Amino acid sequence: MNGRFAAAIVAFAIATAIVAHAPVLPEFFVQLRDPNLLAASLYSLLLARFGYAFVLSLSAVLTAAAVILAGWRTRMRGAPDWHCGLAALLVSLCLLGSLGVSLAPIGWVCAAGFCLLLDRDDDAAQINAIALIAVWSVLQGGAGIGALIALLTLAGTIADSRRFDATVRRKAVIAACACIFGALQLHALPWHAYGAHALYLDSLLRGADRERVWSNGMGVASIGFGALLVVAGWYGVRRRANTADALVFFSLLVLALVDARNVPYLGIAGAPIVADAVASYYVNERRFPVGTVRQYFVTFAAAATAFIATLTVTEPKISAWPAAAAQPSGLLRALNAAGGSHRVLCTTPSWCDGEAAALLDDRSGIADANAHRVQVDVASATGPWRTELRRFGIDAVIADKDDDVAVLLQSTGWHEAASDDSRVLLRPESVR
Amino acid sequence: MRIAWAIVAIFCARFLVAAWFYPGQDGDLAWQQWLGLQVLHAHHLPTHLGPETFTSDGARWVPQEWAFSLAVAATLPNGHFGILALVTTLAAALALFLTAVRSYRRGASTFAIALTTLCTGFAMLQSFGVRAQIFGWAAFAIILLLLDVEGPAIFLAIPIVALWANIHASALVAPAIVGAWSFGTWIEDRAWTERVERNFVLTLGCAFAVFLTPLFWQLPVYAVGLETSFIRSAIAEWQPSDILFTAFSAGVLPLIAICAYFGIAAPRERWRDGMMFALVTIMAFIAVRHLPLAALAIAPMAAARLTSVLPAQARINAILNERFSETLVFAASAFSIVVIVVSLSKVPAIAGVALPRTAVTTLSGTQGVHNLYCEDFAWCSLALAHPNLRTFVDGRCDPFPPRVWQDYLDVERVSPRWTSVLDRYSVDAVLVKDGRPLAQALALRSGWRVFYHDAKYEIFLRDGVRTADR
Repeated sequence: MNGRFAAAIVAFAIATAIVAHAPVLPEFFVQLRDPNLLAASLYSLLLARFGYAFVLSLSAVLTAAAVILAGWRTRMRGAPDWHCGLAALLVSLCLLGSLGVSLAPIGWVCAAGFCLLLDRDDDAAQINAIALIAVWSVLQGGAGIGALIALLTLAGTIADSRRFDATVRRKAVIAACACIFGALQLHALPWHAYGAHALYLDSLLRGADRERVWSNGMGVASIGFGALLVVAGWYGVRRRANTADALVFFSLLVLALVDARNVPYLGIAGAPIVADAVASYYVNERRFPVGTVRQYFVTFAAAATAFIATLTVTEPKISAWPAAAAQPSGLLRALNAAGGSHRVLCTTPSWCDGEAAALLDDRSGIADANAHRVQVDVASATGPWRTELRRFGIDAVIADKDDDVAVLLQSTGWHEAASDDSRVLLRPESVR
Repeated sequence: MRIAWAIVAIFCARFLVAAWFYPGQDGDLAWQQWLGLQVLHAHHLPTHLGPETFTSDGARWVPQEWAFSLAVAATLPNGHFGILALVTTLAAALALFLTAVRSYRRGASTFAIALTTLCTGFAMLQSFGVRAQIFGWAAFAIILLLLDVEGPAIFLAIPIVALWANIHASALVAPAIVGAWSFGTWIEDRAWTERVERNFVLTLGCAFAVFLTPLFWQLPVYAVGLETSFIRSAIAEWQPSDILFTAFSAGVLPLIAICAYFGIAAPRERWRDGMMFALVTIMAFIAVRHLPLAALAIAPMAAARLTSVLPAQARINAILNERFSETLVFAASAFSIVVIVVSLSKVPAIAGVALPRTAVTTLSGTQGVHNLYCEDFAWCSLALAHPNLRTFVDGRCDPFPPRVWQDYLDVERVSPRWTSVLDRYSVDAVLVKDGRPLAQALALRSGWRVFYHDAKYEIFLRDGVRTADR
């Protein structure tokens, strides 16, 4: 019995899980509206041209590619196939909470590839890493997390070698380029690719949506996180005496604790490190793979094409634009159908993702301080929230039916304009 | 090890200040005092809620904190609360000190012991109070020490678990921890050895010990039920840990990080630690109240591993062991203790009164029996001492049926059903914090008037209810 295909089997399982589960994440609609993300235009085109099934299967294939690359990275460290399978499993568990259609899988596959290239120490890897981070930045806007990983790898390499040798020089060049891409991306000009929310640190702002790993007991997202941390605790990430591994692992651990949407990046970067540490206890002689990523890429591309083609042909075509189950899409449609200009506040900002006239959506980091204050005051019905509603011209509020703000508004001249199962669209009597 | 003493002393001072002023901060002491007095008068534990609540009269109740409630009743009304505050502080300090002892027994260096004791202290800060579970921390630390020693005295863990179960239901953690530890020994020995058998017998003994309370089987059933209880969402201590909590970020997280960096269970070396680490790490993330227990368990593992990099001969340890350094640390600790006591005694969040005592007393001074709804259920514990006030939900929390809890939350969150809930239960008095949504909603609602108002709280009374007729 050998574990040669363990990682590939896990990757296939995660791809089929996406196709079977098929949620659309609300942030996808924010990303689609971002003119600075090339993948946004590309996905819009694919949606219009080939339909939702194509984009869904593409997301599944990209996620599977990230899992396989993490497994391959473990293999490149000389760990046996079963440990690659362990890495793939840990990555998959970490991805479970974020599976769905969005631009995130592009970021995951780029992160996995970037970590793989950072593990290598040659000129070709250096050029490929810089090219990859450029592509990552342009497509999905993930250069921020790439820059962080590159900087930590550089710091670790310096700490280990304690001199400015060729290895340090290569890592420094990659880190410098990654930082430039990251800075350009975050800067308002010339282009403002908000991408992966600047490591999702903006979720710490008041009024912003924040996903916590353990928000409701043992959840899907927490299983992978917990498994990775426990296995790391058993074997230790410093096992290979690689400081960069420890720095990357713990930095991403903290980011994951800040916002659970960073858990996939922790899994992608951390699982190969942990699986490698496990292997170091049980493997006396390390054997490195003979083939290259390029050789396997052809095989993977063929399988991916067949996967996407099969799904696109067999799945029923969806003529309507996809909607996220977590969003009050019907209420937003009703609001826009009412005509006229409006400004809407959603008590949960991500409900407003993709809505042009929203006070605050999922992109808290680029919203102004006033928007944050109004969001907090209105959502909690405290402070001068009624005055703020008037001052900021908010004439539509989407709230949970059980929210106190919904009851308070309806008792002071607002009416229910539309509702779905759990949420309600409220408008002032004056715009009836 | 002596530096660990200094750290324990600093935390002891911090705990003592919090404990001293605790009656002004936590409403739970009010219902515990009430329960203790009930037990002292009736000479048996109540099994059902009584007419002191108008929503759940007759609901089954497992008064698991009965022993602690007796202690509160014996001290608080007589002005001897300081004794209980001191004993509680000493229990927490004992837990912290025993953790340092366990680290020392594992050969940890001075720096490693000091650092991990400091982290454990931070992990305990958030949950500390004059509360029953603090005695559970001390019991847990003693059990862990017995497991570490692995001597004939290991079976003392069973009576300690029994004692713990009589104080707080968190004793149910003990069989799980001892079980994980026993499973770890089994992995280490790779066979059913005498040691493995002894440990599993110990696990069964600990599981049996949680039944040795006046509540018998009801305590474990209650504790297991609480794990999936609806009320957890309304209780801060049951919320999952967050990096923004100091107890987590400065307490448990660094300890977990040290373990994750060095690894604590190399193959078949320390799988006892490995199994315990897995269990308490998951527990630490699930609920804030588990953070101290997790820190108590993990700290010696982290200290031992940290010593592998910073051995006893390392420069920092040599410096810390010098007589001058020790004197300096003790002097700094003494200064810190004075600063902590003096400064915290003036902090309103610790030394002030955060409970609406005056509001409740004023309401009780009016004629008739009132059906009182408190926006924060803990406030209603203060009403238990007044025979003419009946509560919607109070700090006893657990025995109130889920239906009542849902109704309580409907009002607290001002859901569309809030007025119908107040009408259905004939609530005639509502205690709210000024400016909160419920206060705004009541002010807008006809048929309610402000009866009491101070800087923080308001009581709304329903118009036209002749409470005196009840």
